[in-house]
Amino acid sequence: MPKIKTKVGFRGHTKDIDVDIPEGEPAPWGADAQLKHVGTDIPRIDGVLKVSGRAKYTYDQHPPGMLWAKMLHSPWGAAAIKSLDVDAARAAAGVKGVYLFKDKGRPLRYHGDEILAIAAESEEEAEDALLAVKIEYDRKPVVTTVEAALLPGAALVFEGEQNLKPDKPAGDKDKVAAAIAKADKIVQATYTTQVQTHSSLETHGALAMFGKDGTLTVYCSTQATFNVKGEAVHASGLTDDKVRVLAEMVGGGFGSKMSLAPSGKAAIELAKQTKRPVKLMLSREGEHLTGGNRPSSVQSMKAGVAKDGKILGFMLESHGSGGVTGGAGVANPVIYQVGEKHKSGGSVYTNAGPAAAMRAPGHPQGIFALDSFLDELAHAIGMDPLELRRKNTEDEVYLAQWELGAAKIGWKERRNKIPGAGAGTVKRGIGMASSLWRQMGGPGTEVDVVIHRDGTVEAKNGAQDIGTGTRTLMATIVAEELGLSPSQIKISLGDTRWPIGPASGGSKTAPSIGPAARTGAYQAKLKLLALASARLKVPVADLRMEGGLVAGRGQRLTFAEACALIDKKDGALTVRGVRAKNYDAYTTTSHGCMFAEVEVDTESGAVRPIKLVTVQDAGRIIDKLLFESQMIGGAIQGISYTLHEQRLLDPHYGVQMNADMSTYKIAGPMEMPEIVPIAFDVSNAGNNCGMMGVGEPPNIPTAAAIGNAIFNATGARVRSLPITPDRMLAALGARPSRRI
Amino acid sequence: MRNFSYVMPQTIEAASIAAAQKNSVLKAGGIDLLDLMKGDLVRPDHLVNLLSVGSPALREVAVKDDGLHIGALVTLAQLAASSTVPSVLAHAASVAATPQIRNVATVGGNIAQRPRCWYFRSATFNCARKGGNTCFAQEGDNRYHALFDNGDCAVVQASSTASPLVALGATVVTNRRRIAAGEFFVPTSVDITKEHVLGEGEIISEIFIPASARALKAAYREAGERESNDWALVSATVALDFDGALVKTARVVLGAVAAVPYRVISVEEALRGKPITAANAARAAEGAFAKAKPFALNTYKVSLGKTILKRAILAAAGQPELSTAGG
Ligand SMILES: Cc1cc2nc3c(=O)[nH]c(=O)nc-3n(C[C@H](O)[C@H](O)[C@H](O)COP(=O)(O)OP(=O)(O)OC[C@H]3O[C@@H](n4cnc5c(N)ncnc54)[C@H](O)[C@@H]3O)c2cc1C
Repeated sequence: MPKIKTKVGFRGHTKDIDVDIPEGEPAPWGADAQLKHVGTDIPRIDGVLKVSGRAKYTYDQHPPGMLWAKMLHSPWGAAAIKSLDVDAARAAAGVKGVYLFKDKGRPLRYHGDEILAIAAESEEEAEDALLAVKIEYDRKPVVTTVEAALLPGAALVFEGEQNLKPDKPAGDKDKVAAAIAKADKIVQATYTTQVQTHSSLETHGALAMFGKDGTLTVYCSTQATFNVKGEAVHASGLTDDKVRVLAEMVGGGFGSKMSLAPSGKAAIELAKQTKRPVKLMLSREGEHLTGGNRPSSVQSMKAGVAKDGKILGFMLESHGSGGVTGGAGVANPVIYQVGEKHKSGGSVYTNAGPAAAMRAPGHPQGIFALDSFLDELAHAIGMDPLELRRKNTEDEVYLAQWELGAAKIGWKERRNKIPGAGAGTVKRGIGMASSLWRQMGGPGTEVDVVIHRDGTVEAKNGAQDIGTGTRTLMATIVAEELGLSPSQIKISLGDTRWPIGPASGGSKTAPSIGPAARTGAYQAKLKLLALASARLKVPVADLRMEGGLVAGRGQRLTFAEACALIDKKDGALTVRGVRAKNYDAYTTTSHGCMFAEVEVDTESGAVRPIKLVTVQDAGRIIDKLLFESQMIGGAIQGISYTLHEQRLLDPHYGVQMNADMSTYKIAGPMEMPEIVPIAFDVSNAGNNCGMMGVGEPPNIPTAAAIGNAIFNATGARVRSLPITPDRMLAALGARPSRRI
Repeated sequence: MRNFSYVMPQTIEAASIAAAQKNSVLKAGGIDLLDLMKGDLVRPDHLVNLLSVGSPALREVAVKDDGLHIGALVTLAQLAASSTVPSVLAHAASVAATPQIRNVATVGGNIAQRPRCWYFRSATFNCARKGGNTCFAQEGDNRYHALFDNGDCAVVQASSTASPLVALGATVVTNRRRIAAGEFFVPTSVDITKEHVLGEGEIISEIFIPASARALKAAYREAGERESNDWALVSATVALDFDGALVKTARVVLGAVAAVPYRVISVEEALRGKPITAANAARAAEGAFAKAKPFALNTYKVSLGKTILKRAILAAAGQPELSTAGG
């Protein structure tokens, strides 16, 4: 392995480090790399397709002879199926197949639990047939909240199993108690966060088609084509080589589309039964009920802080519910050094739809509690909240980002020195919070780079582009390496016939695919250079590919001329770029922070974000526009989580009352503030592009930043999400009366 | 959605005959109706499309000597953009729903829309308004529900134009009769299974606003959880007739607090003969909610309602609604 020196870090904080470059890999782009496309504004290569409606999603696939399938869900939070008769449904007009998830006697544990699916000639006939199903339920008592599920004698979600699944406590309680005892101030607070449903624009679903040749093709709205393929192999009983999964375009994937899902399973079963292509996409209601969600949380914290701002000890007890699934942990505490710490709690079953990973799982809820609580600590000792944070980290990236964000929002000039001190009914305030994520990209991904004799270039990978712009990112990297422009590169994604690629979770798609694409392009370049070298009689080491030319020592070929040197018989140079192991990096943490300015109408409880400044590092940024799109999208989703979205279950029946788009309130255009995304460039090494993913982190700090800004504006602390007018008014009413 | 026959009448008379058949419903813009049909709550055998009636009068706002004649098929977008309809009505229409919906939704359909109560809208709950025995909102999630006359059924009047129409003294004109807007809506004390007094085959042809309404100083204010796509949590319409600086008569109508646009007569009387000041407005707003009976989750609507009503009173009088001083 060759060892090289590379410059890493950020402006004013760079250093040289030695890294071992894996065999066959290009050196990482260092801090002083001169790049033509990477880091600039590259428009999405599929943007026109999308805005013109020509992009094809799973929803848009209508092969000849296709049947439509629809699903019947449990209408109650808990019930058993007392009787079930599908004869009339089977006999209904157009019906071709019925698939039972659950038969008579089986328990239903949440509103939305899958019962059966029906395939018919038309969508309407499938829906009508659902109405013809004769089914009776034995309704059972439900628990719908963490608090209710933990009460003694509470109804059990799973027979014979406690509702609480405790986590293993971490830390030493006695040490924390001793540390807190030394503190100048002790603060205690409980924060709660709601359940947020996934609500992707394209609901879950799949189209399954068995071919006459014994193959199975599945179009699936998924963020993990290869996971789906594995499950489709299992569900169909076919061998691996007979199954193909496609996801050309995906209408939203924030963590809930990692598998074939019950909808895809039913599509395959019904296609098997009917010998026809079958498409099953969840209804909007079904999506809310079963499409996955961010679990709730109840986080009780206690901490001791010294007068100088040092946090000495920190205790957290956290419970959350992911409905019938676990996985309700929170990222708290993170980022800050909080002295001695102890964490306990667990996941709690409730009669509610399953949780799914959701854009930075555990983080928005954890950071809402943690970063709000830090403000409470600062307030308790009369310290500037930013100053308190500086006292509890040594991370130079955070320190630099905070300075940048503070300057952009006007922390010094615009923040109320005394919270709530501003005059008038409508008050403004400023707050901030931070985020942390990890670089999770790595091996297991391969990209085919093909240079054709006619000068066209392709790059292919079987993973999906869930809307983050993976196509554009690959094209940018390959173009950079080959000295071409991104629009010249044809990208193929979302088809398991192509090389293995990642599931889009953990923000790892870009940092897995990107470096593999660069390796492939680099190795293809070396092959092309070898041909050019023979023709030009110039050593490879002296040749460069730039601006569509292959040139060196005063000699040159156009890219097309060089490609024409490729062997006629082969027609193309094909190289498989294999994602190498990660190596030494400046950092494997991606840092971020958000500064918010909000306006609060203290009589109506209306909260209006005015401006969000969102600062983020992502190693080397490949395409500034894609980066900004993630930052802005994260902030928007964050606003929606902070102020609007919440799944509401009837407490007695466990029925979701707002499983539609008008009462499940998602922030719309009128709710948008000015959003200022700031790319904090870090040269990072770690992989040949020095890149990290940025899909998840921008969603993390919004709630705490807005909550802190609200406190700064009004002196009222809202410890529950979402901050709707009722909660805001209650917090304003609970303010200690104050005379200025 | 179940199958139905689609009727396209050419005249109001034909529409009326078609709508009077057993199990027929009228469709105007269809925004509400199609949602109800998709939810399997309305299952018509015949769907009578009023939009196929060609009459231009149904689609126009006409200014005549006696007042304003608003055709029943005038859209919310038309109302919002009109310079002839009272600004309080145009304003209320302009903040309803979304631009797409306002382009399609008609004023007739808007005042005849069915309640948004989620128990009512869910096929799972056979609630009292649908003929069952229980109002599930009483003990359930009632954060958006009624504050007044809510003991048997807790739905709220969802129409944004209803309160302004009542405040302006409008008349709902049908193919059979003229109904004062205030008499058009059915309170829970009378019947909890219907929201308006229209009979079978009865069709709203226009909304009439008398010329006398021109002298009124009026304002509509609402509070919501968001501005995009949303209904008001509570709204207030105030129409004042001044004699110099003193209020001669007042109309005060609250929205989203009861099954009907909720006139607060006591406040109308309290305002009479007085000037509008910040203190008077606040006192009147306070009094308006004295009889409110909030549920577990909607007490906030009381304080929110007071704020919104106070602002509507001040706005109607052309006075500043927000304080810029003090903490
Ligand atoms: C997301 C969303 C947000 C919304 N927000 C608001 C809001 O903020 N404020 C608000 O007011 N509304 C709101 N709405 C409701 C919407 O404005 C109404 O559904 C719409 O105005 C109904 O008008 P339409 O012409 O489509 O009526 P239709 O759906 O066609 O009819 C509604 C009812 O009225 C009857 N009807 C219609 N016309 C006549 C007539 N001429 N004579 C007799 N009966 C008639 C029909 O039989 C039917 O029962 C919202 C709707 C949605 C989906």
